[in-house]
Amino acid sequence: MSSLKRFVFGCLMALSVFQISASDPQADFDQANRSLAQGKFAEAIRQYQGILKSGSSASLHNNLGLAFFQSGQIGPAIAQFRLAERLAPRDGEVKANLRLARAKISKSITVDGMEGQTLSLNEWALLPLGAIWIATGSWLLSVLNPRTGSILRGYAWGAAALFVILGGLAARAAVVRYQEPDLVVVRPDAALRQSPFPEAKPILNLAEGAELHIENERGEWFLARDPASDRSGWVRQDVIVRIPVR
Amino acid sequence: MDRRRVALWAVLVSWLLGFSILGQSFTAQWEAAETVAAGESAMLQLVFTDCGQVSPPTLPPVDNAITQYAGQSQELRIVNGVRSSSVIHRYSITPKGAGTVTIPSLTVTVEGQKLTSRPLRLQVGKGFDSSEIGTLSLEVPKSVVYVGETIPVSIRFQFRHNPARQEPPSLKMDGFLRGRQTSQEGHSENINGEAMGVARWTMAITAVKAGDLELGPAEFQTIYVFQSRRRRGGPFDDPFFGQFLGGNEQRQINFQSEPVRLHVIPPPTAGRPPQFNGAVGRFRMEITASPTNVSVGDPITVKVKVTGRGSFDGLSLPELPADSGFQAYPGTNSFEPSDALGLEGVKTFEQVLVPERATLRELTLPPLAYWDPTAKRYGLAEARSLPLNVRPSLNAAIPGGPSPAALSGTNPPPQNPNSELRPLKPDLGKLVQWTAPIVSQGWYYGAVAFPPLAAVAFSTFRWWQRRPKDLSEDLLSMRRSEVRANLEAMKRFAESRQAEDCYQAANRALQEQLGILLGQLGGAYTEEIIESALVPRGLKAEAADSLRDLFHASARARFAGDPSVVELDRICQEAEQSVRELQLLEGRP
Repeated sequence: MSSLKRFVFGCLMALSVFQISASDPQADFDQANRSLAQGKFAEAIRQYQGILKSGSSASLHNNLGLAFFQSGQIGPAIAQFRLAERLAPRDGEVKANLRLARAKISKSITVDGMEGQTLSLNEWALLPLGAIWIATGSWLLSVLNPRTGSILRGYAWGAAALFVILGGLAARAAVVRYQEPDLVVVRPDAALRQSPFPEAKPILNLAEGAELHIENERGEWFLARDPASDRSGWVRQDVIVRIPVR
Repeated sequence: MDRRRVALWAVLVSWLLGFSILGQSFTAQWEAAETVAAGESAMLQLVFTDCGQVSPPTLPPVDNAITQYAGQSQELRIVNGVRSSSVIHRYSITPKGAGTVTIPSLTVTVEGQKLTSRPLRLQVGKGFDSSEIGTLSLEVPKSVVYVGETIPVSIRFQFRHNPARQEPPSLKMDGFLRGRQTSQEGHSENINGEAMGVARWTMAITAVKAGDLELGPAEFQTIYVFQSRRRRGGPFDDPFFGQFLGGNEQRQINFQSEPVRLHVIPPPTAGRPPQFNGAVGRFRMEITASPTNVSVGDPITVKVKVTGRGSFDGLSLPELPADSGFQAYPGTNSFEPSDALGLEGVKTFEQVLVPERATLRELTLPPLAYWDPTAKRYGLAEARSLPLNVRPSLNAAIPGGPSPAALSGTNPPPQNPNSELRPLKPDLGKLVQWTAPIVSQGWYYGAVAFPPLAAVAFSTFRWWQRRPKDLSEDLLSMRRSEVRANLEAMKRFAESRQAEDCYQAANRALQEQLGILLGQLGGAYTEEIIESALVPRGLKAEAADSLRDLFHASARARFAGDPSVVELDRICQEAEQSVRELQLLEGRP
């Protein structure tokens, strides 16, 4: 056997082994759902978190949030529901779960547009992008084809106006999204500290499930502001979950 | 030391020792006379002399008498310079009847030394008949009761004179549990034509064991004040002075009832429901639960109200069967009596049940089985079933699991959107990686800017392509524009039937195009130019004829002053055609 054939054979074997060992995320998801349905919350949480290593989805974060919620861990549940909402902003069930989890800790924090957003920031961003491409394409065709020039020039002007409108709305959506709290406290012993050191004096004890704004970062510490008390301090990353903007 | 001196010391020491030994004494004695009348009490004193502090000894049972500790006192004596102290413990001895009461010899240990008293006797005379003052009786409504049955029992004191003081009556009740109790202050009743006072104490008792049990006797201790016989008569025979001079005499009089024998039997085993857990009485049961629209695992607070008459103290609900589908957690209960003795009322049980299956559609508690001692039969208190909606929220999300609608056959009721978790999502969906939003990435702004920039570039390119290369081209471009403008004007004039203007515009367009073709300024060419310059450049014969015709028509219009309106359309066509033919000749030598 030539060396080339041995190389190809080896690659095929490695690929087949990978196929065998690679788990099916949907199957793992089903198993985690079964565990949750049977009340095995800790096991379900572990299984969901295992799937998270492969990627995120709104369903995954939603169900993980349900597992946390049912096991009484409201802070992590809120974090997961918020992550699910970021991925599926039009999912009413996720919004309802998030609302319920927030109500569970008697929270009434409502950021403007937080629950009214039906498009993700990426979706908002794509709308003016499409409009400007349509406007430019229409104008180009009108130039190249004088016979249909007047009609296409109308389309071009309409799309250009749409670009201006959608661009403004997208900019507003971006502002709102970036004003939402970035951090969710997931541990009951969290506190804002005066400086980014574990020995630093705590200046505000944080309730589990509290949502904070990031003002600065330094290593594994975040300078965060609690909107409820409007106080800022350092909080370590192991007691919070960061909610990415999307 | 001589012998006499030694003997003197020995006598002194032995005397001192003997004094100390002899001085530590224990004596039992009556405080007053050794004779009392029936119904009266004698006071027994246990005197400990030079023994220090001695705790009160416990008297052994004394036949035909009731003993009760009455306190202690101390006494210090100095007689002929000899000092002694005594601790006196006093006991009230109340004979139960006439005869002799014997206090046996008592032995106590004081500082390791045993001291013994001599026995005492108390002669109890007939005295006065306490029934002349009042009688105590025990009233029991029935003689046969069931184990677990609660019945009211009354102690009735019927009296002619009010006691000065009294203790609450006591009732010996082995085999029974005492429940709530009420008392009725003395009131007057006419008994056999005599006005008598009656006081009544009623209590609920519950038989706890079977057998022939004796209830009672009831005992009632009173203190009566009598006018002293010793000081009767004389100038101070007055109640006022009696207070100070001992004119009144307090006497403890104990009343005792006859005991009552009760036949206590267990509820029969025949016909006993399997759910029977000892409830005796007659009961009804109602059930409420909240919430009734829950998910599997959600707690439901169940309230069961048991109303009726009977023994509520030990009343408990039957347990849910193991296959009920509910996990039961320990609950609480409370009782609200509707009568003073608590024989009737409402007992409320509150318990948390957690549904374990989504197939549950109702909550049905096992019936409460009870023995009705009045009707002498078993009964069942059954509560109606409560409809439940247990949503299989978690199970339904499992692939292959039944849906709520499939389980119930109906659509689930609308849910409160703000109070319940939404079900699990069965589909994982596409897994994505968290990336920064596209608005924070440079390519996005490039994609937005590219179309307008490309348009600008395209326009610039076109302008660049069409831009005049030099002044001559610029001039040529202007002259071509002039030709196009005159042709356009010609057609407008033709449409408006302005013949003269139309011919002039056609002539200007023709002259300008000829100028462009021949590289000269236009405006003065005649038809000779056709043969001299255009035909040699390759102008076709038809085009030459048409051009010639145009020259003629233009000359007629210009010089004859009567341009034909009829020929305007044809002239316009020939002018446009001729201009195009001349343009084709451009560049030819």
